[in-house]
Amino acid sequence: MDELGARQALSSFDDWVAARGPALLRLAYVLTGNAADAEDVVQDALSRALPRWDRIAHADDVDAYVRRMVVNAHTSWWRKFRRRESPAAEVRPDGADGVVAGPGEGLGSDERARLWAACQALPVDQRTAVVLRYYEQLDYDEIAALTGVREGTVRSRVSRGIAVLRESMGETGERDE
Amino acid sequence: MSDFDERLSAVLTAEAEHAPPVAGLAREARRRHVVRRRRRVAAGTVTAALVVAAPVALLAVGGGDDADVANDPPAGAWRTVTHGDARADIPGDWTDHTCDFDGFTAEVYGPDEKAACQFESYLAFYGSATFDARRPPGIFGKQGYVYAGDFAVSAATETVGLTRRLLASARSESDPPIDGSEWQTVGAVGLRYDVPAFWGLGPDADLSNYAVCAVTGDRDAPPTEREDEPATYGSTSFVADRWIQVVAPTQALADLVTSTVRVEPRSDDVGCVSGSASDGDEGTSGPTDDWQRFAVEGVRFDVPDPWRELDCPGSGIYFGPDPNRCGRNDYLTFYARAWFDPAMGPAEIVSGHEGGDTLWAGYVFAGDWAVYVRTYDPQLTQDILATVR
Repeated sequence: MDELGARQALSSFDDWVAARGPALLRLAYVLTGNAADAEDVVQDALSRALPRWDRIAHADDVDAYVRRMVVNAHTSWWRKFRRRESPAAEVRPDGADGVVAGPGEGLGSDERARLWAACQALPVDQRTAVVLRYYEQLDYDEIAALTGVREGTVRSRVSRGIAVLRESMGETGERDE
Repeated sequence: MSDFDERLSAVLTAEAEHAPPVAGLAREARRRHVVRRRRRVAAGTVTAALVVAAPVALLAVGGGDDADVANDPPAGAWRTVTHGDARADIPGDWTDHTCDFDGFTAEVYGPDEKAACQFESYLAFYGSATFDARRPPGIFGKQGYVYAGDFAVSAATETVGLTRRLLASARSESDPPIDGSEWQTVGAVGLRYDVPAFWGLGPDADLSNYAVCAVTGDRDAPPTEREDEPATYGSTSFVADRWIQVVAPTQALADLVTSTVRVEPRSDDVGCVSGSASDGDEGTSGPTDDWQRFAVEGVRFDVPDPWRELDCPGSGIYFGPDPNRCGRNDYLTFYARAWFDPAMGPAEIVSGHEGGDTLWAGYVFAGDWAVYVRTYDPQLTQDILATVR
């Protein structure tokens, strides 16, 4: 690639990050639960995307491609630190510290804080599946393709994660999906 | 969506607004990339120095910036190569090759550069974030991929057995090594599936945590994922009309076993098979005392007990499990070598379809004959062919 081409590729990368970076950071924040880790995960994913940006930019769905890199960077980051998380049998009240009420949604700040904390307490695989399903609004087959596991495994993780979240909120009973 | 689902979506959306600002994101990504590239160049310099100083030392770079040095193996033995937190075992005479794909380079292991770089016989680690999977993990014919640690491990060779052994060895650094050199076909709870002897952990290992289960249920209502112990990995899939759950000592093995599961026709059995598949209760393929030996036209071979010579007037020599089938479904037959014009090489196992089922076929030459075998199980086909003398 000539110098002009190289500049164009870099410019394209910057433009894309400027346009789509906020969405990636929001996804990473919901996955990791804090701003510092969210930045770390997104920066790591983008730094790995940069040298092959020419190829990625020609992908059918660039957003999906980079989103997968972010999700995998998140799970890699989690594995790197060997955090052993257990399904949240109960949610510790102090896990809700610092959570403030946001846009309406009809939820009280306490309920929202408890649900957010319960979500963060899920094992990483369940949390990732739940976030992609209920935040990114992806279908099960899309989540399966993105995370590299079978659709059945995704359904199981989502189902189990939701069951734990319901239990932590004191709710039981059949899902009415 | 239920009310709970909607509340959860609302909470996640609201919390996402606390994400950090995007300012400087591209610049920081670029800085990280430069740092990583410098580290890689430094690693390459070390590699060159090692090659000059100690030609017998093998450096398992595997691509990327997390490469580690592997042990120098004895000739003929297998050795472990590492890449970041991923591990895999490869034949001792395989080496790593830097393959150039239109300016994009990758490190690939193989018996020689041509086989490796043309992906004829190879093993490679890919960053799972950038691995484009077009089908679920597992083995398909003589190629496949699995996940291990932060990486996807992809492999293909000339034989199903070697590919399966390579992929079965893929693991993260905290997982136990898996011996995938011996596999068995288990028939139980309405399923047939392939699994390494003793789940690849040896006869003395505690195998009680590992299982393959068939569970009835609606496709939209998956069973709870089985990962009973921290050291187990699960895979859940929907096959035919039931859920299949596999719990294995590594993610690679869970996915490999899952990819082999077939549901027995007309069976509605459910349940679990736990522990070792080699204690005789579940039924195994592979030559055992239950196999019968035959000699035809000076060629000896062994087939499983239900198989018999079939009465197929005018159709040649056929052996199979069903006396009513001649030249259909699963069978062994003889072709005159001089007239045999196969589409694959000797001992190569290829798949084909018949009536919606997948059959696995192969042949070997013996004297003036080509002994041709096809079954519903690649391992069984391979096992029968291996007995031909």
